[in-house]
Amino acid sequence: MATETTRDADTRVAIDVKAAQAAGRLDAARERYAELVERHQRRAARIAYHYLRDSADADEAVQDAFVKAYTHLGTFREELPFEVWFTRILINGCLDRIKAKRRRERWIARPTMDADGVERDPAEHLPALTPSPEAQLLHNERRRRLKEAMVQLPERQRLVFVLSHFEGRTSREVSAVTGLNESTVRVHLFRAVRRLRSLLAPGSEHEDTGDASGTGTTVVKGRVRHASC
Amino acid sequence: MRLADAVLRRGHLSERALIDVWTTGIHPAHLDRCDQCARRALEMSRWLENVQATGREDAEAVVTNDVLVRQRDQVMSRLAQLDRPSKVISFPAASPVTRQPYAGRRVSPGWLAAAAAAGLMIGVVSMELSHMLPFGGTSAPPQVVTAPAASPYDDSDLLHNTYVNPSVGGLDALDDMTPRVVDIVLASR
Repeated sequence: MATETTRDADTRVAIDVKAAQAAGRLDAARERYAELVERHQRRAARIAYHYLRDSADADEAVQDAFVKAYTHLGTFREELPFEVWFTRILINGCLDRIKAKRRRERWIARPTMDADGVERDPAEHLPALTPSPEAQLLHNERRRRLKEAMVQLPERQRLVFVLSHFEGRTSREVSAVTGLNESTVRVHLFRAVRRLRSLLAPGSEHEDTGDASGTGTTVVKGRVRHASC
Repeated sequence: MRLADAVLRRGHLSERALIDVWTTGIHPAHLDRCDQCARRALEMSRWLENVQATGREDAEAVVTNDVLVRQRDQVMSRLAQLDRPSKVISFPAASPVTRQPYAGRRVSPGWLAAAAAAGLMIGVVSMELSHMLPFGGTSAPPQVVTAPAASPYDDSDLLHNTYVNPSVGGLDALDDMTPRVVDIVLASR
């Protein structure tokens, strides 16, 4: 999570933006808010992408979250780190998108699948980082398998795993963002790791026929608790 | 050490404990004594590191600097649109509401009934007159055979005459007006 200095800086900026909004100095408010956007944008984009597994969806979710945070900045409480408050908004937006996607997929045919029945995304067509074609193939295969395994995790496990493992947050920080107990966070993390190990184990690819649509197979049980917005 | 590990695993660390080692960084003393658990912990941490690296690479490949710049521009332009005072389209100048007087007049139902009765009377009279007038064209005028004069109310005489002197002359005019099938067929050929 943000260091104390970053946290203080975020809070100061948020207070400034609120004051400028209240005074009707909207240009100044936006200018100040751009600092917050720049500071948290990359992390937000990564979380949204890990969570939604679709770059376009993730892009929209991040934009919506920043816009929503700006318009609801009046409800932001200074005792809570801006990052935590904003991440809650982002995750709730991602959850809404997943639910909406599921509703759509009940009625609309899935997008183009490849020969294996797996939905491809533009990220897999990006230029190679590794020189050798074999290495690139293996690398892409690892990413594909991880992506498929991730979408098979239940929502909570996926959220906790993304925040803990990919974003490097502690159990306490994840607890603050998600509203779950720290012990519950650890249980979700353990279950996520165990399930991923089982899904990514050699030879297990065709045993577990999960939903490859990027939406997971579990039901979204609820929004992140205690969200102010 | 967890109680479950001590009792069920004879002191060896569970998978969960190994994950905790990686996530919390806390190093249990058992790892220094047990090569098997140390090997498992190493294998687990390598696996977790690989997954982390793969996941981060995957995200970084999508979240490029160009994407972020474009995204930031879009966010700021959306915020600018939000802050812009919304333009209210004024309605055309309201014209004074003038109640147009109803052009028609209300007709009382009594008059309607009288008009209907008058129309009926006119119809009956015109029908009677049309019987009196000669028919145009080549057809012969209808032969009207009247029954012997009798009291119009004497039903017994009327029936008697009908049976004794059967006559359908009164229907001849109607018969003349009715087209015949033969004529229609011939005309169509």
